[in-house]
Amino acid sequence: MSQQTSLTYAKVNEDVIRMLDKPTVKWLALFVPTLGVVGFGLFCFLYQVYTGLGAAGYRHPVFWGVYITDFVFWVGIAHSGTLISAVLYLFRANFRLSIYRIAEGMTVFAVLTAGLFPIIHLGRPWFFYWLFPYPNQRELWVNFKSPLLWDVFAVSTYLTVSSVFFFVGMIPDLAAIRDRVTEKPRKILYSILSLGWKGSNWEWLHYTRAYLFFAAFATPLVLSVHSVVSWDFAMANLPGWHTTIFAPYFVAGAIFSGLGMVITLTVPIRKIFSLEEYITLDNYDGMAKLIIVTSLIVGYAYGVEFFMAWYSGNPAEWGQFYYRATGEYALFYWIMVFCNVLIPLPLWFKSVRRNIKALFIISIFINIGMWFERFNIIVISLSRGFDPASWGIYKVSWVEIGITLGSFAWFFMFFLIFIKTLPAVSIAEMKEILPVPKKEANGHE
Amino acid sequence: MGFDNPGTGMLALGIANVIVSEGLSNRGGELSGLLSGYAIDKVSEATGVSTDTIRQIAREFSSTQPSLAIGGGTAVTSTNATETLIAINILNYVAGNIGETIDFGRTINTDGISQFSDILSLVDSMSNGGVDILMVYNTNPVFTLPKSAGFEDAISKVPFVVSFSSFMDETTEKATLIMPDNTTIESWGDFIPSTGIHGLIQPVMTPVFNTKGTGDVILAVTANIEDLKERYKQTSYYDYLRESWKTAYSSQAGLSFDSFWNKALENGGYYADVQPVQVSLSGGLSGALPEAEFSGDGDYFFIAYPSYKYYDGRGANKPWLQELPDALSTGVWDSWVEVHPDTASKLGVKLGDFVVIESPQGSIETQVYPYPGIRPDTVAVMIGQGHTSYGRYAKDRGVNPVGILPLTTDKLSGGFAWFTSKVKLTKTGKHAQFVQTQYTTHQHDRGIAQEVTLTEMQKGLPPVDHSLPGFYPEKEYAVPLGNGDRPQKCTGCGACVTACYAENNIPFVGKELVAKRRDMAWIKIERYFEKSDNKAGFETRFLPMLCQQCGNAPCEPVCPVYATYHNPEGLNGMVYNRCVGTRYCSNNCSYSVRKFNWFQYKFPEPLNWQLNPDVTVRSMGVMEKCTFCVQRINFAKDQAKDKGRDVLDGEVQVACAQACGSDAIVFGNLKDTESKVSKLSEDERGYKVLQMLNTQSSITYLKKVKWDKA
Repeated sequence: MSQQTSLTYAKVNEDVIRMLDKPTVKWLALFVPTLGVVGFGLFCFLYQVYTGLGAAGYRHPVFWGVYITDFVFWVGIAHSGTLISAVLYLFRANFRLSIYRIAEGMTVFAVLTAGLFPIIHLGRPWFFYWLFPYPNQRELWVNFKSPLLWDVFAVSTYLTVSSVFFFVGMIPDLAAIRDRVTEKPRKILYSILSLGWKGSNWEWLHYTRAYLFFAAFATPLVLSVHSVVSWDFAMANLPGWHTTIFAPYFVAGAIFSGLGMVITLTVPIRKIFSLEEYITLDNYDGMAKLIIVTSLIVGYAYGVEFFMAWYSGNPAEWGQFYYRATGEYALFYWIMVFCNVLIPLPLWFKSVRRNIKALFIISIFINIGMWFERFNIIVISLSRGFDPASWGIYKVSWVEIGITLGSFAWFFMFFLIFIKTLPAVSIAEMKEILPVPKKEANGHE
Repeated sequence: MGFDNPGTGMLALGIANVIVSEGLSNRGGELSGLLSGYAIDKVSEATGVSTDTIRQIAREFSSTQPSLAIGGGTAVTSTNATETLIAINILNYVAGNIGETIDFGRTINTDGISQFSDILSLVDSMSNGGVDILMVYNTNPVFTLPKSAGFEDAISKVPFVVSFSSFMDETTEKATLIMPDNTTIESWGDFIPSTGIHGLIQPVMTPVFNTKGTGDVILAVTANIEDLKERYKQTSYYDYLRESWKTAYSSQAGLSFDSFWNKALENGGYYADVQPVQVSLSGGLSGALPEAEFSGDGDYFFIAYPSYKYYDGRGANKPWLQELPDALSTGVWDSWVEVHPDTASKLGVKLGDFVVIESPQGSIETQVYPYPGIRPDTVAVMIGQGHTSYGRYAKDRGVNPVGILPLTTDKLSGGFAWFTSKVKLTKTGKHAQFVQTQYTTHQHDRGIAQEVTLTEMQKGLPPVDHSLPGFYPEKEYAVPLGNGDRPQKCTGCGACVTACYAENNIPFVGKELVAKRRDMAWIKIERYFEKSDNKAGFETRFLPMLCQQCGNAPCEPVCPVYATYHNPEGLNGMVYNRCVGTRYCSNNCSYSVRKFNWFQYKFPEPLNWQLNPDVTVRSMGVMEKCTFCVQRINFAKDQAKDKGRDVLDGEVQVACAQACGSDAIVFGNLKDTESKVSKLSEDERGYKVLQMLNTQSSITYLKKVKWDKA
């Protein structure tokens, strides 16, 4: 943050806490339809539970489809949160400061969304708890060899750690809000949430230490969680899935899509709440550079998949990749290449990196492209397995579209509640980089 | 349907001519007068078969013993059908097959069978009001006779029509009185299909509905008619049947009638030895084979062929048969017209497009199935669909090609000639998904259905080690079970598929769900059209694909809840009530043989009666797959334990193997080196499908042997 800022400690407090004022009509105009879409998604899910999974568009041999695509998409979205808050914290990359709270919130809500899909996609979702290793009378245990079980642990660990990290980072800010609000219920709520924080030196000493440890603890998860998710596919023997590059490929893709989502979310927030001084062009510039890096990794993975399929001499493997680019799903494949490889190329230019409109449009394309990447990996691979006699095409049903829309609404619902109840920008950390205010005679800060 | 019609008879005589004129056989000299009219050049020109091929066939046919030329199918359904069969048997005679592979002692029993002309005169008298009462038993002429025969109009002129049908078919709908008969599995009966065979039918279940056997009805009615009162002494058809078998018994010595009867019941009948009948050529055969006559001014010969599933339409009300994929098109629940791809592109139609087939007698509209095995000048539609009645599963489904056939007969025998019309094909512009179970025709270099040539076989195949080195220690199983599949013998009929439905309570799902690839078959017949150097340019390979019960199963480690696991006998067990439905096992199954219960499937009354009480009916949301009929294995093991011995080879038959008419599937214990399946799996032609994945499949397939001898 530049030294020429007009921000002061007081303004930071006011600006951030202003966001928590009573819901405006605009906010309600967003929130109510969002709830409606969540309701529709819930209806679709209940309809599916009632009629059977046949309500979705699965066709033999494509037994995973939009739900697992959504799952991987949301887990991917979750990734940038931890990357920005934990990894960049450890690297002392200051451009993270203004956006990390939003990114962390995004992480928690995205994991909450992602975690629904493995249950939604089950044939018998009412038995989802059978996937947990709990002691039971029937002495049934789970299969630790199955990547799906690794998923259960990866996602629940990630949810726990990211929630704790999210909450711990917020404690000083919650205390600041507690001191400002006047209404009784809010006062009580924030008093409880701030855990009696007084801002003493002793507290700060331990707090910063703890935060550092949490950051260090969360960092490996950025790599491990999405690696585990990628093994859902890589551990199978299916052509198009069974490949060793999946873990780094998925992690890069996750960061790529996560950054895309951060931009998609912060641009409107910055505009609506006039946070231009907080979320600066420098911040966006930094994120755009990371997007270029991850886009290149993803693009390289697309290329190397093709090369390896050809080089392996395996007809099933080569058949799969040739089909991806030329078969019935070719449009989706080329949408993916266009959005993830070509669209980010203008970011090499500084003028584009600092153009909010351009960034917003690019970020939307990245979200679309990354959704299709997961769709392509999952559905196209399954469509053409080893046995040609069973090849088949998957067609999405309205139930899956409803639940997918519902999942976006579910995510935004949490997000809308978040920006009205919790500090979307870190008050405490913003102050760390502001010039220390001079004491004035009238006693104001 | 690749027949050289209208020249089949000509080809047979042409081959016979080569055999005689080249002196390849010591017979047939007396036929030279007849055969000289069938010079190889003339036959070649008329049939389109090259002279080299005719010569080659003649040499191989006469030098390979035993040999047999079989007439039948579409080739002998024209106006010259009988003559064609005569020509084919002349070829047999010339090759010396009479008395060797052809036995005139056992002939098809035609006693009591009416001529086609009898039917036509019946229709005549019906329409003239000459028939007061018509009883219809075990036939559905409104559906099976061409419209031009006028049966439908004639039956409305009969004042009293009694139908004894078990089902509400097209003819029964027009009946005045319906006396529903027991179905075949509920009735007593007998039949004499050919000389020396007396088949005895006994019911396997009590009648489900309030029905009465037709025999019992007749006995009850005659007992109440003054003039006929004394005709039958028996009051039940069973007694009548038993009494009538005393005629067959009289020729048996040393057996009481009771033991004779019981033995016949056990064996399904009584089989008498039949002495071969010596025949000789009456000589002086001359003249020319008449050409088949065709009517209609269309461009395409039209074949209406009986379906192997529905026959003349009587099978169409069985959902098992409707859902059984056709061997070649893999189509289900519908009709289609087979059109050569070149013809299809000439017409501008592709798979699933609707065309109108028009003959002077009428027209039908159905979907196109481009099939390279049919002649470009011929189109074919299967008989059996197109019911306007006959129950919920048959009604309003597909088209009935018999409706548009002209009323032509075989000149010599007077039988109905099926293959006599030429039709027009018109594109309609309509299109719908052609619902089939296999959308590819090629193997895409996967080596699923493999082949060796006879020459390679004679040179000897290199020994193949089926065990690839593995990372994990070898497992030992108490009774490793295995299957040997012989695609060579597989005709693609799908009897195994339906047997599996019956044995394992597999639900049928209907056309709409098959269109979404949600059929539940545990075993499927994969059919591939492989490039070949024959005239059609391809050959068909069939391969039964079912759970391979892999030793190193990809489905097992990925299940998070151990719903699929390896049992001590080496089977991949499937615990339905543990399954939560992640479907990962299916994604990881290299053979794609797992099926998922997308819905709670129903067995609507009375189909619930067909459920096998030994097998669980699966519920919504769980995976299922072939179990190698584990219920049968367990039953045999219990039996063997009670008797204090091991399970014998052949004691357990899986349902698919049991139903296979050509013995293409063999099941047994792989650990027993003496078992049939062990020996087969050691065969040099043996291979495992997708062996490079090292799934250690327990099914060994034997490569198809291709005839490549000159």
